[in-house]
Amino acid sequence: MAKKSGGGAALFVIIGVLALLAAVPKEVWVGLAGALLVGVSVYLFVKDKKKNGAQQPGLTKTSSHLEPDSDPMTWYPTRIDEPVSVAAATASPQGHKIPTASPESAHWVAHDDEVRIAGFIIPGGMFYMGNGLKAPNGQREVSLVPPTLPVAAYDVPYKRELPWTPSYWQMHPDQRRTYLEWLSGGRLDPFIPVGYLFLFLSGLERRVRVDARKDSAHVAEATRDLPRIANELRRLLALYGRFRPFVRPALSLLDLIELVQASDPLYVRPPPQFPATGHIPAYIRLALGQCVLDKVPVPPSLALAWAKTDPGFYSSAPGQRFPQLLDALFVYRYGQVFKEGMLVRTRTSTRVSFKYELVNRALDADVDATFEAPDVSGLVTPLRKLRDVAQEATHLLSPYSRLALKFEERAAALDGLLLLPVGVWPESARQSMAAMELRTRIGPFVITVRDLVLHFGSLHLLNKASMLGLQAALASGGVAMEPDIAATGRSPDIDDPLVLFPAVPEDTPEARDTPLYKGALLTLQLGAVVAMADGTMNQPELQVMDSQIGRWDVLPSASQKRLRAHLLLLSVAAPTLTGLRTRLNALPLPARESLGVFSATIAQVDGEASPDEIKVLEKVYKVLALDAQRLYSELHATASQLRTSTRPLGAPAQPGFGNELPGELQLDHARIAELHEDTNRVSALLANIFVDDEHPAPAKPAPPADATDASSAPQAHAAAPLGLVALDAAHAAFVTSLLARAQWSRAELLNLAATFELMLDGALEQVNDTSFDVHDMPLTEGDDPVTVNQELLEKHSQ
Amino acid sequence: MNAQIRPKDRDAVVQSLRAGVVPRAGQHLIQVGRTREIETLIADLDRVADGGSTFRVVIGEYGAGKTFFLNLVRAIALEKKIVVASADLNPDRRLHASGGQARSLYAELMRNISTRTKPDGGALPGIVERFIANATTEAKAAGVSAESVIRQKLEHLTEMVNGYDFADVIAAYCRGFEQGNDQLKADAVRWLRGEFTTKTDARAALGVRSIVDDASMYDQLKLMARFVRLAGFGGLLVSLDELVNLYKLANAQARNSNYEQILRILNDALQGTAVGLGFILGGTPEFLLDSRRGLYSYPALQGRLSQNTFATEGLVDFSGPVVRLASLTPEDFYVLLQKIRDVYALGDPDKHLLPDQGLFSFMEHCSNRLGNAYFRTPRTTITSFVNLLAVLEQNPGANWPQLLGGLAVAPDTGGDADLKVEDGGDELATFKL
Repeated sequence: MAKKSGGGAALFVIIGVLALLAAVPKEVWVGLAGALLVGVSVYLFVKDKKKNGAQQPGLTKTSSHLEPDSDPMTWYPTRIDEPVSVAAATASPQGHKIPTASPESAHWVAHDDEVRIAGFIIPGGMFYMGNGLKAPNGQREVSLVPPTLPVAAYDVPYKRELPWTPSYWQMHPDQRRTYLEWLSGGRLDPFIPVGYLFLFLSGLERRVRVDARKDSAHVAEATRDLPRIANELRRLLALYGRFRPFVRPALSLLDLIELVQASDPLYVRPPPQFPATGHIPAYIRLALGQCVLDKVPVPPSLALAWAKTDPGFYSSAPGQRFPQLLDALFVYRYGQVFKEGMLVRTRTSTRVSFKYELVNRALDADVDATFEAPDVSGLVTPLRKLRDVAQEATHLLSPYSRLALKFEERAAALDGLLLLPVGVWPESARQSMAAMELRTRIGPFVITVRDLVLHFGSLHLLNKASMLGLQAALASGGVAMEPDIAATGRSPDIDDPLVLFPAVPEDTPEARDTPLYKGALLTLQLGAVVAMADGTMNQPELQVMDSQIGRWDVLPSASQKRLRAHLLLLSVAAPTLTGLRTRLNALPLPARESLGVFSATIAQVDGEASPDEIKVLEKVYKVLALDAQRLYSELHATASQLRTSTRPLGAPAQPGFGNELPGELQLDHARIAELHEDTNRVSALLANIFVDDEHPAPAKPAPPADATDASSAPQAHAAAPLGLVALDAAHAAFVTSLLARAQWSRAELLNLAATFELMLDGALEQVNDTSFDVHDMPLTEGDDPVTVNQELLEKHSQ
Repeated sequence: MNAQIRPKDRDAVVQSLRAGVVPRAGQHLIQVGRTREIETLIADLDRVADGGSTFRVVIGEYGAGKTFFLNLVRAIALEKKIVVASADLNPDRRLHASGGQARSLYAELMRNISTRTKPDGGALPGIVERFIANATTEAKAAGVSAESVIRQKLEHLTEMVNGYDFADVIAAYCRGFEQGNDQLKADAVRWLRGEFTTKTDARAALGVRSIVDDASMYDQLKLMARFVRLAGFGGLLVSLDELVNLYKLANAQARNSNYEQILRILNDALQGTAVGLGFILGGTPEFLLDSRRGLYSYPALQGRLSQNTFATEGLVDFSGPVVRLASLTPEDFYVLLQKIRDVYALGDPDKHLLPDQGLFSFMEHCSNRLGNAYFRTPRTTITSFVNLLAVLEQNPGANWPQLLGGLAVAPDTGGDADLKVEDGGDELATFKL
C-alpha cells in the first residue's frame, strides 16, 4: 500500500509540474528562448577568440619619410605566405570555355580574366581564388574564394549583411551567392551590403600590402596591378561613397597606392584623383608640405585637389551638375588670381603623417608614417583663398548652368560655350579660336556673322548677349571685332559683315570715348558714303582714307588700328547719310567745313567726280549745312590740284576739327621755282606765236593773179612797196598811194580804193594781213581816220 | 622771259590792268604757268585752222583767270589767222531762246568778230570784201561776172540752213559795191550780222526769204565758219564767256534748251561735222557741276563732259572737253607780280621799280587787309599794284615801304554776282489759296 501510495505521489508531482508549466505565460517562454540563444552565441564567440588569440600578431609601427631613394616597400611586413599565380584559361566549350581552378592552387585573378565559380561567370578579376592561401599570420585568407565551397543554388532575394571583418569561407552559402552575384555583375550593385565591400577590399589590400612587396615572388605583376587597383578603388568610392565606414579604409588604401607610386617632389606632377570625401589625402598634404619646404607656389592642379577636399566645393547646384567644368574654371580662375600660383608659408610644427589601418587584420601590415614636411591642412587662410577662388569659379559657371537647365541643346552649342571663359573651352573650340587669331595676324579681314558662328561650329544666329559673349571671347583670344557691339548697342544680323583684327590691350572703349576718335569715325563714315556713291569703294579711295588715318597722329595707334578695321568694314557696308545726320548736325562749323573738304576730296580720288557722286555730295553739304557753292569750288580746286600738282590733297589734320588756320604769309620757294620754269616754258611757246622771226616766209600768198598779170608779177614784186610781195598789182598800187600820206579819212580812202576798183575794207584787210606776215604789224591803224603805221615805216627804212 | 617788250604791248597791258579789266592784247607777257592748258588749246586751234572742229569748256572760279585765258586763246587764234567771234552771255544773250535772245547773241558775236588786222571787232565787212575781192580777181581772170564766181564758190553752202540766202546776201553786197549802192551793202552786212528782226524787212531790202533768227543762230555760225575759210582765213573760233548766266536761268526748260544747244555744238565738234569751227566756253564750277542746274543736270552732257576715268593720280588727259583752271595760289600771285613788274620795266631787269622783297611786302600788306581773297580774286590787288608801280615810276626817289603802308586795297566782290540766280521762274513756285 505504501508502494502504491509512493507511485501515486510521483504522478501527482508530475501532474503538478505540468500544471505549473502550463500556467507560465507565453511571453516568458519567448524571453527564455532568446536568453538561451544569446548565451550560446557568446559562448561560441569567446571560444573562437581564445582559439585565434594565440596567433594574433602585434601591429607593426613603421615610420617612414618618402624620399627618392627610400623603398616604400619597407613599410610592408616581412612575414608572408605567398600565393601561386595561375593564368586562367579563356577557352570555353562554346568557344569561350571558362576553366575551373585547380582545387589545390590559390591565385590572384587578373583584371582581364574571367573565371567560373559555382556557375557564375565572373569578369574583371581582382580577387584571390583557389585553396590553401594563408594570411601572413597563418590563418586562412579571408578574401580567398575557394570554388569548392557550397554556394546556395537558389536565388537569394534578401541580401544578408556581413560582419565588417568577414571571411568567405565562414560565410553562409546564401551570402556566398550574394557575393558571387555581385562579383559577376561587375561589382556594380548599388544595394550590396557594406560587409561584402570589406571582403573585396581585404583582397585588394593583400595584393597591395603582400604581393607587391619587394621580396615577394609576384612583385612585378602586383606592382603592375597597382594603378588598376587604384582606379578600382576610385570607382568603388564613387559608387559606394555613401557607406561612410567603407570610405576611410578605401581612401587610405588609395592614398597608400598613390604614395607608393609617386616620385619626389610630389607637386611636380598633377596629383592623382581622390574622390571628394572631406578627408585630405596624405598624398595631397605631403605635396603641399613639399611646396612649403621648397618655397614653390602651389600648382593649379594641386590647389584644385586641395580645394576639392573642402566638402563645400561641389555643394552648389552648378558645381553638382558640372563638376568637371567647375574644376576647369577653378584652375582658370586660380591662374588669373595667383598667376604663378599661391605661395604658402607656415610655421607649424605639425608634420605630415600617414596612418594606415588594415581592414584585413590578418595581414599584420599597418602603416604609421610621419614625413619631414609641414602639414598645411590645418591652415585657414590658404584654404579661405581657395574657397574664394572656388566661389568665383562657381559664379562663372552659374550662367552656363542656368542655360543648360533651360535649353540643354543651346548649352552644348556655341551659346553655352560663350558663357564660359575661353580658357576652359573644349580643345576643338580652342583650336578654332587659335585659327582665327592666326588669320588676323595676316591682317584685318571681313567675315559675316554667319561664317563666324559657323567657324565655331554653330548654325544659328546668336542673340545680343551671346554676340557680346562672342566678342569678349574673341578678345580674350587676341582677336578684336569691329563694330564693337558693346559700344554700338546693336547686335548685327546673321548676314552682317564684321571685321576681325588683332586685339591690342590699349584698345578699350574708354580710349575710344573721345571727341577725336568719334570725329575720325564720322569722317570715315562720311567718306564711305561719298565713295560708295558710284557703287563701290575702290582702291584709291580706300588708300586716301587709310593714309588719312595715318595722318591723324593725335590718335593713339590702337585707335588707328581700330579705325583701319572700321574702314575695311565700311568698304563692304557703307552707312547711309540719314544715319549720320544727327551726329553731323551736332558738329561745330569748322569741323563741318573740314568734313566738306574731305568728302569732296574722296569723291575725286578715283577720277573726276561723277554726277552721281556730286548728287550725294550735294546732299552731304546740305546735311552739313554748308553752302553748295563751296562744294563746287572744292570739287574744282581738288580736280585742278589733281591734274596740276602732286601736292598732298587737303584733308582735315585733326578729326572732328577744322584745318589749321592760315598763319603768317609764307611762300613755297620750290613751288615758285616750279612756276618760273613752267612760265618760261609757256613764254617760249607763246613767243613762237606772237613774235615772228625777222624774215619769215609769207604765211599764205595771195591767190595768183590772172594769166595776163603773170608776166607783170615780177614787176609787181619788184615794185612791191615795203616788201609786201604777196600783194597783187592793184593792192600794191593802193599801198603805194596810201603811203603818200600819214593819215587818211575814211571817205578819202574809199575814193582811193575805188580808183583801184578795190573795196576798202577788203583791201585794208588784205594789205594789213600781208603786212603782219612780213613785218609782224599792220600797215594801217584805226577806222576813221586811218593812220599809216609810222613804226613800220621806220623799221622798213632801217 | 626778259625779252624785249614793245611799248605798245606794255601800254595795252598796263592800261587794262590798271582799269581792272583783262588785257585784250599782250596777255602772253603776263601769263604765269598753265603750259599744259595752253598747249591743249593751241592744238585745238591748229585743228580748227586745218578745217577741223573743237569744243572746250574752260572752268575756273571767279578770279581764276578764265577771261584772261579766253583772251589769250583769242589772241593766239588771231595770230593763227583764225577769225574770232567772242561774246559774254547775259540774260539777253543766250544760245537758245525764242524771244530774240539767241539772235542777240549772234549779233553780238558778229559785232565782235575779229581778225588779226582788226582785233577789236568789226571785221565782218573786211572779211566779206576780202572774199569778194578774191572772187572778183578770179572773175576777171576767167572773164566772167563776179557774181557768178561768188555763186559758184558759195554753191556748197546752199545745202546748209540759210545757205542759199547767205549766198544771195553776199552777192547783194557785191552788187552794191559794183553799183555803188551803199544801202545795199549796209543791208547785206545787217543781214549777216543778224540785225534784221523781220523777214519782211529782209525781203524788202535784199530779196531774201529768211533772216538769222533764234532757231538758226548756230547754223548761221556754221555757215560763217565755212565762209571765212573761203575768204582765206583758217576758220572761226567762237569764244563765249560768262556761261554761268545759263546756270542762273530760273526756268528749267529754258536752261535745258540751252544745254541741248551746247550738246548739239559738242556733238558736231566731236563728230567733226562742223568745218573750221571751234567753240570755247568759259564758266564757273557750279555751272558745270551742279547736278540740279548745271551742265551735269543734263544727262546727255554728263557722260560727254566727265573726265577720262584713267586720268587719276598725276596722270593727265586733256582730250576731254573740260579744261580746269585752278585758282591762284600765293606763289602764282607772286610770280604774276614779277611778270607785271617786268612788263612795266619793258623787260629790262635794271628798270625794276620794286625788289623781290617789295613784292613780298605788298602781298603781306594785301593779306593783312583782305585775307586769302587777295590772291584768289586778284583783280583789285593787281590794280593796286599797278598803281603802286605808276607812283614809283613817276617819283623815282619815293620810298616803297612808306608807300606800301598807305596803299588802299579794296576787296573784289564781283564774284558774288555769279552766284545769284534769276528771281522768279517756274520752279518751286509757292501759292496760297
